[in-house]
Amino acid sequence: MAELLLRGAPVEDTGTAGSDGPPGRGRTATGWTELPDDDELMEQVYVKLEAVGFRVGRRLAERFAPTSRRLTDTLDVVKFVCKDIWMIMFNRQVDNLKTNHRGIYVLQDNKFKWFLRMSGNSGGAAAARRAQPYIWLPCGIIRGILDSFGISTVVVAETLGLPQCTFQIKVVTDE
Amino acid sequence: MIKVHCIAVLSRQGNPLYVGNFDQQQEDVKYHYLAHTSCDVIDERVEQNRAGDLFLGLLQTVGDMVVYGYVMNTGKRIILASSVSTESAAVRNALVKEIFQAVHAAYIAHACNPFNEAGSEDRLADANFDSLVAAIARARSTPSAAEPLPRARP
Repeated sequence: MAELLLRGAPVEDTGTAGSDGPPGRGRTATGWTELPDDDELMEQVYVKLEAVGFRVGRRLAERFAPTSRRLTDTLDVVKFVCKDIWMIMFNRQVDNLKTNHRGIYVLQDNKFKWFLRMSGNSGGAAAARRAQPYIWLPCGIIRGILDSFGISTVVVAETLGLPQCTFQIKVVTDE
Repeated sequence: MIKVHCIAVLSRQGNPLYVGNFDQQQEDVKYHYLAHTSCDVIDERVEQNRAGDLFLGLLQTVGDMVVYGYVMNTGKRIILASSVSTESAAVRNALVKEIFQAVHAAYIAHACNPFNEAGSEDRLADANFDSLVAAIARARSTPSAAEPLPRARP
């Protein structure tokens, strides 16, 4: 999906396509494709993927919210994301959950499933940058789930080395 | 047996998403009123008992009607109004809870349909959901009804 969006319709809109034909754009001899060097395009892809994730998250929450107990505070909901939702989506639980008890939650997954098969020839940093678009969808999913529990948040993710991934959830208060 | 008069679904903020009137003896507005007065009772119950069940039990009695409440984890509330009957409270609670769970399942089926996006935040306009909830409301209204409640397709 991220690849499709990066090479698909929005590229034509911004006029950056067609330098050397759509299928082989940016492709090198090793089969490695670079991300487009266009912040505006990346921004559009981010907005799109995050919005799709948000809708998915809303539905996941309706479908898998526990029916035998009520989740009352934010920590309960975040734990539900770490345990139940991660189990459903990635077949494992989040490795580490940290919080400062003031509205910031950090979820760390040391073997994020979508990153397990990703690597690059030119070192970890380039591969981590290249993998960036793939964590925008789960960011949106987390935000969607929390939103349907009535918590508005901002979710950002980053990766230090590839199979590892960290999501930071920041609760937005309405003041 | 339970003679269901009305099943309503409200959002977290109390906007009516769906109000189903199944007896036609009263006007819809009566049930809108009931649903809204129940919102305050629900807020109170949720506040009192924070880690409880989704089913909140009997909320209020209005004339010859009893009103029950159920709150989903995602904040939506379901309200059911039925006529008073002779069964014991425990039996009635079990029956009503079963109906709520069936309506909840119908709601989940509605929410998971990717085509139900437009305006689903303020109105629940879905023919499948309507007919399913009507069938659920009817299923327990005869004395001998023992078959399982109609369920949404998983």
